[in-house]
Amino acid sequence: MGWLSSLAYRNGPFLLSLAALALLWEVVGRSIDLITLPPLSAVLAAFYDLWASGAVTAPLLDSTLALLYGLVLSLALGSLIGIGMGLSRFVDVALGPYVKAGLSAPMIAFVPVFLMIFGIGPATRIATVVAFSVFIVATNAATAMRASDPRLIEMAHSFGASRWAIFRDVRLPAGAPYFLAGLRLGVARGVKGLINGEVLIAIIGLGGLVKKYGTVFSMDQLYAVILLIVVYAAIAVGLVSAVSRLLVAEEK
Amino acid sequence: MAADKVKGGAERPRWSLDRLVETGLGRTLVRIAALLALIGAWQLAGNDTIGLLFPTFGRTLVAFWGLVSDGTLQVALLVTNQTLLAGIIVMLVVGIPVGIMTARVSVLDRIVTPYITFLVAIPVIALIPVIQAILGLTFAARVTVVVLFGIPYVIINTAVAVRRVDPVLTEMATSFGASRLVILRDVVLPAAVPGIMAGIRIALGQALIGMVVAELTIVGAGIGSLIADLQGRFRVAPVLAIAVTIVLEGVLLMTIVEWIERRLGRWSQS
Repeated sequence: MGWLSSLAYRNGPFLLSLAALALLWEVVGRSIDLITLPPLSAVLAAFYDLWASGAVTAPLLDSTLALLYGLVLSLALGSLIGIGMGLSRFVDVALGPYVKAGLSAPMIAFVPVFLMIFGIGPATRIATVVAFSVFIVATNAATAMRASDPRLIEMAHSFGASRWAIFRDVRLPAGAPYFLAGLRLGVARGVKGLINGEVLIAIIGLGGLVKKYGTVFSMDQLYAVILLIVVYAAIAVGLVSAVSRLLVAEEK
Repeated sequence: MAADKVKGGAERPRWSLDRLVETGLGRTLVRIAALLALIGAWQLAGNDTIGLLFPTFGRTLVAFWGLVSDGTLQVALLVTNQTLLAGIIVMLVVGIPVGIMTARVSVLDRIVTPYITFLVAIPVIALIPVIQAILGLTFAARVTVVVLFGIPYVIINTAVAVRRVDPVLTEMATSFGASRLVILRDVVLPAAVPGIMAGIRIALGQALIGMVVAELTIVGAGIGSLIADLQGRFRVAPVLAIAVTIVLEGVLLMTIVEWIERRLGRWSQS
């Protein structure tokens, strides 16, 4: 029971505030007949209906596929750029400013352009996911390449290891944690990019559902979809975190 | 890179490209060449035969000039940036005090932090229909979006920065009889400034995204309506020109904030 009481001590205030908010939501939702604020119970019921009726399965699958394609592209492209930057000063000087700019600039401004060029297909969402995640992958890949102990590389070199062997046996293991951190951040950003793209495109996938229920003011369903997206994002990021912890643990 | 320096002379020619960037002049030349290569690739990748294809650099530049010469872009940018400015002010005025309080009051920390973590984890754009339903298609709604995008990072970084202030400093101040308020103002805040600034930098990046998202979803008189209008008339080049302008504005603002951050960092250390 020790861990239970410590859990209650640590998370007690938060859980209490959460319960208070939920109660407030339910009471206000029931007493004032506001179209914008359905009671919490209605939202949860809508969430269950949405899930049980299978209305979300197709958009969910659709979104996940776009996310996966985008992430694979980001990983390939970002790793290529990042490894180049990490291994060569020349590439770093030439491409570094763009990667740094892409990391902090609002890449979402390109979504309307993607939409016009690629149309309302998966390509627009994939491009958005890539635009959101490729630069963080590249940055971390570059850091990963610089993370290895120079003495190890020297030693491998003096023992006649080829550049490929040094890359595979020295640089890659040393940089693995940074690669994985880049992947995790890339997934987090990619999920946001995916949802952003979908809401802006407003017809397909999970984001399309947000728009669909939002425009007809079907609020309980809308809140249910938002809940679904939140859970979706949390699961995607949590999954990558778990996998990367496993991988790094194996390396050691 | 240290490994490259110890290589024997015989292998040096293989790294001639890297030696090119060892001097400042070489770096500048390489950067100019990279920019030209990028523009060249853009020009080659573009296709101007149909209006709906990816436009070349030249066509985009012409479209940009068309938007600038009659003042449409400037007016739209001005309107849009008002949202950003108001959002950032709210973020700082609310976020920094809340961050300080969460660092100092443990109960508050346990209540607020999970919500903040939640805001960081979720795509805020999903909340826009709710904001729109409550606040309507108004300036306040757009500002709220910007604030929600950025404020978690201000709060988290402020709280971490305040917590990390060397306890020796505060203890010394206490033993010299300084009040809690004086300690906060003269000891804790100056020491926490670099951390707070880092939070503001991250928040600015997010606020810029929030600004674009707000413009495109809760359409007002700014960039959003301009893009919607151009989209309706299937004109890609001006939309691309606007997108590049916004990205460049973002890069410029981030550079300025980074510069301030470095300056304050030096001041805080001295």
